[in-house]
Amino acid sequence: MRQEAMHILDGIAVEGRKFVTEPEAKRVLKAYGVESSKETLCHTAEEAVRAAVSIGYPVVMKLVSPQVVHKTEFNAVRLNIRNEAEVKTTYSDMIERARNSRFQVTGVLVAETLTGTEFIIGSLRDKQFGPLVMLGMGGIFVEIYKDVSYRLAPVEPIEVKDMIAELKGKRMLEGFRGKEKVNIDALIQAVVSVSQLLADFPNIAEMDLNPIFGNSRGVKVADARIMLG
Amino acid sequence: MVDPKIDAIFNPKTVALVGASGEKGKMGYVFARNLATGFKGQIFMVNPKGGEILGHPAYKSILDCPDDIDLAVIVIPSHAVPAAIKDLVARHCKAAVVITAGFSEAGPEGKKLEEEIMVEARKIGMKVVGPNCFGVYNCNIGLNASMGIGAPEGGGDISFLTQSGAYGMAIFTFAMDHCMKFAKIMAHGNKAGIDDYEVVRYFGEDADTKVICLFLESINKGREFFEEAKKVALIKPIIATKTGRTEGAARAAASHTAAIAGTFTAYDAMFKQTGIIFARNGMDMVNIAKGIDWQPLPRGKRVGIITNSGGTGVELTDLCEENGLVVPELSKETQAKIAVLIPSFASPRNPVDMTTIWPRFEELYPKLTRILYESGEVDIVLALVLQRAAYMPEVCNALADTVNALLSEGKKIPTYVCWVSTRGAIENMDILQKKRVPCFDWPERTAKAVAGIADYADFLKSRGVDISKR
Repeated sequence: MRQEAMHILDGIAVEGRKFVTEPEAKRVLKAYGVESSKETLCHTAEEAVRAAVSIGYPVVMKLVSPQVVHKTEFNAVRLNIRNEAEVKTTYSDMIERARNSRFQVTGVLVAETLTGTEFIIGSLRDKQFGPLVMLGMGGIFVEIYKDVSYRLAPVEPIEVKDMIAELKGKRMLEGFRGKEKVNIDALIQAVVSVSQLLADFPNIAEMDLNPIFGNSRGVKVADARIMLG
Repeated sequence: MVDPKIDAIFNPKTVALVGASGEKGKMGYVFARNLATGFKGQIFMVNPKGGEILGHPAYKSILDCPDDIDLAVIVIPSHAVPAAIKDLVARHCKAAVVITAGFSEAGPEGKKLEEEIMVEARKIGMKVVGPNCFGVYNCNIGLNASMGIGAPEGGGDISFLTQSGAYGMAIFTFAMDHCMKFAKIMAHGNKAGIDDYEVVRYFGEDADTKVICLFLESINKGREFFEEAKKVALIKPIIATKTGRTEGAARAAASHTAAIAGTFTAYDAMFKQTGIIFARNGMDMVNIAKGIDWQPLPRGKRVGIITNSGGTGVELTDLCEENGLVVPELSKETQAKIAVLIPSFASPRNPVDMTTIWPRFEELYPKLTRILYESGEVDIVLALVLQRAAYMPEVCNALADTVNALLSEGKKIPTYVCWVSTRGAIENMDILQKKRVPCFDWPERTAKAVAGIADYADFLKSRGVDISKR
């Protein structure tokens, strides 16, 4: 797993890039056994339509560009695309906006719509202690309540259990008010794997897997951002 | 086996005091007197004038000392330290404690001097404690190589690493005022030549050390420290106070001992992962150390409170629960056993409030303690010894003797006292503490200390550590 991730990250470093694009980041995660949403990188509107049909509506569409680091701020993530007509308009709108800003376009990702409880897994590098892995409740929980927990990476499963126990939103995992339960073992395994990735690659300066969706079947990364140092 | 180089700091056969003085008021005199007071090994006083200092011959140079030097204590001005280190290296000295200030904490000039001494010391792998430090103690052999105003008595098993000299000094206060006994104390100041993790490893392996306290502004070699602490904390409790948690304090710490305080996020994570008990302040640290040193670890978080004051009992209950402990209502059977002993208007529910029936305190504190121990409904007994009860030596004696009798029956339930009284009653607090029943001041400190101890026991259990004998 380490070999494959190294291959991808080294390639990016050779190109002189610091920002790892979303599909690249997800391949790195995949190499460590962390699953992401089903998705296809498309280069034409027709390709996007075919991908959407094969994945199943509604889909998520995302612009992939090495210049767009904060996708939401650029309005480069569109949710709940329900039919062919919407895929086509969204596709052309995204391409046009990118061209107007003179951004290089790698393509447009068409991805499955994930459901479940939102989490965030992130990283921090400390001068004294090296890499730390962060687990938090996603969405407004992380943004407003900063409901997160840190440990030095790599972590053991029992340490991730402690992290989960620290989260104020932990009741969400147990199927709060009729919501689907989260597969806790899968969540633990994802944090363990990501922490190993951070420990293995000191050149990963920043990482945000946000959001990650957890449900009874497992956890899947919806969006991933990695910056090399 | 312990690291012999670090062991030379704590268990030297010979000590050279470089900068010894017979002149009262000088630092060299404080050290000469402290060393000469309890240390049974050989002491070489070094002073360029020669002569005699406190009955010991003084040598004009390090090179003149008649025997091998295990430990050198250096109190000469900073500019003269590199030359002294050079001489010590020539004598194959094992370790040096550099008390002198004016090194990396004082600016670029001092930093250069510090580098110079370390370049020399590394030639033979000599350990350097400091510079800019308070010194070291090994209470169990009477070694006081510090500027302290006194030496704690021997026979203790709490060892203490402190970056702050004031906390080195405070050890004597804790010993005097809290009947605590310590084993080894090191204040390592700028920590140029000794790393935190090395000392933690040494304490972990040291047979005399049962409890480890750390008072740190920063931790160097963070990863090594993490790995070491993760192993040691499972075997011996480590209680740490980390200062410089806030931006304002970190600024002071950086200029203070030339250490860059890390962000607290990483420290917080590291403490939780290793099982190090984090104390927010030095008093909490010492309280937790005392509680763990003198009593068995609690098996759980259920607290039974015995009080003679309704108000303070409720206050303590709130603080316990806010700190993660549980104060459960006792079963009907246990309440019935208690109810027959206490007045009809008193409460057997928990907190168990005997009310202000002074004449029966001596009888009730022991009896209620025993009932709680035997109920199987609590993991911890907290006795609030409040005001008038604290003025009654017979109450303190009876309570302490009962606790020790119950412990000797093999019941692993700790008892701690929440002490609320005037300074006029301190002698009675000593009665309890000399019999190893820890007293904590007022409910807030009590709840913090007990919660810290219970969390540690919980951590050990979660990591599969057998605490049946601890």
